[in-house]
Amino acid sequence: MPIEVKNLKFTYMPGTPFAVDAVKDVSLTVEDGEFVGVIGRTGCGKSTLIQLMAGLIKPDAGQVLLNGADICGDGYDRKVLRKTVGVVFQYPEYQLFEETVERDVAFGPKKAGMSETEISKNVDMALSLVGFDPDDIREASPFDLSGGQKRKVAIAGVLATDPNILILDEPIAGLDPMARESFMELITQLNASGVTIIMISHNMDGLSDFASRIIAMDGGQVVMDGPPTQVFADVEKLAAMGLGVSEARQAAHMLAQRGWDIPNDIITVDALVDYVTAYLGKGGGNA
Amino acid sequence: MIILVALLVTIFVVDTFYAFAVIAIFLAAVTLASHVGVKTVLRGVRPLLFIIIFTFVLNVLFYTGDNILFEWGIIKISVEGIEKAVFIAIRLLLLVIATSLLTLTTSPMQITDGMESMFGPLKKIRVPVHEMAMMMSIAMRFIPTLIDETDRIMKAQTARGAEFDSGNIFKKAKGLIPLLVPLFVGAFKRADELALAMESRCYRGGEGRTRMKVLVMQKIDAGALAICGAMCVLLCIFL
Repeated sequence: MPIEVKNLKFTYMPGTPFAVDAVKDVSLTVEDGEFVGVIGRTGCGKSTLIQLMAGLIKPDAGQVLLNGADICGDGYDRKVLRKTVGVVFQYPEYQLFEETVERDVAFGPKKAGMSETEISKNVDMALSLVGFDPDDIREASPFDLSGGQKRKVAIAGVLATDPNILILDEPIAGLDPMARESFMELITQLNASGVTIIMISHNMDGLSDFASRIIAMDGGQVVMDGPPTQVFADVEKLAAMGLGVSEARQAAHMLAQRGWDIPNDIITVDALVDYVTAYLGKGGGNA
Repeated sequence: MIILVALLVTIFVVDTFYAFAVIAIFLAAVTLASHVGVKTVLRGVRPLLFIIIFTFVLNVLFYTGDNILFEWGIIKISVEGIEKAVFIAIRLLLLVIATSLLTLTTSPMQITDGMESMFGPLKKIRVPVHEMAMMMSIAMRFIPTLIDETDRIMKAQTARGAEFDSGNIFKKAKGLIPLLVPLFVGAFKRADELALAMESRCYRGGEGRTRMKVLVMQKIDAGALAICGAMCVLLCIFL
């Protein structure tokens, strides 16, 4: 299900001296199966944009179309929206509330109106997806778990509705490198199975490796939109917006500044190593 | 602060329209002197307007007096009732304006600091004054944080399909569980962390603690206290 945004506007606290235009006239379309990385400095409106896309706040102007239907229109069935679009917030572990892990994960599917058998099947599926053995953890209290486990359970709670579109707001903040890696693996695995991913992240390395499209925002507007190789090519423009690039791209950029003839679409470590090996192999670099 | 308490007591004690007029004029003068702006002060009254009107109507309808103007079932409208209702409405209005003047001109920190020094003598009889003041300022400090947190959790649960604004009252109450549980868990956790942070910065209660900004009674404060005190006393005695 493609999700389309048309001339979206949103202002916080309109009509007061504190009014902030968080999103100004944004239009874009995300097609099925895309992996979109949203980048931008703090306060650029990216969180507001994804909350608008998830129908959690109402736009002041413009539309959000899910599969062609306006999600804020009269008579739109919100259940369809909630079932289709899953949202993982920053620090999702704070949304846990039930007595057992199983019941917490089942909350979403239950609200979506699934049958008992469907619910238990989805709960098991979601828990295994995030790397648990469902039978080990089913009866545990979510509050007895460690921070990392809590987060996994919370994410399972979102995945349990089997969403077609998964929206994530900096989901890997505060995770250790191992957990981060396994989380990115999970996301790419979901993406490969057909789930559309829209992810806000400051982790440029992760986005370079996995995203199929990058949207850079600044001042409530989309400033750059394209495949990662294209967006990360312009290191200076990103730096002017207070954004960095992946480490490999940064290294390549510095090599280019030192006179290497290196293309600007090298953004992953793999590509950089391949290029440098080939370059040295040719005898081009005596430096 | 003391002025406010005195004023509030006075507003409760006096029971003639003349006294109210004097207080109203006084409050108007204070409003002008405080540079807050009449509009801002009146805006503070707006949320309470409903309660004021409600009590007014209740008093008009149910206060039993001698001179009954109109009677229908249990509803009796009497001259005394109307008088009483107008009275209470004015009283409430003045109370609200007086308190909102305080909160608009004085920061919460100043209020708690003021309370601490005012109740200072109670320390002699082992009342934990400093601790209470500290608790109050911490509580006030965390109100906006909790509001933010509520908003965040509400959005997260809405995204999972929770509904906070539909169904009858029981459904609504039940619907609050997914919001309240994480909110309380978060609040307790934050309290724990705050205590740890305070202790790690060597906080150990009020004993021997000095202030960064010491509140000193100045001429203008003394003057304000004197004027207001005099007015309150006079009103209580003569009107």
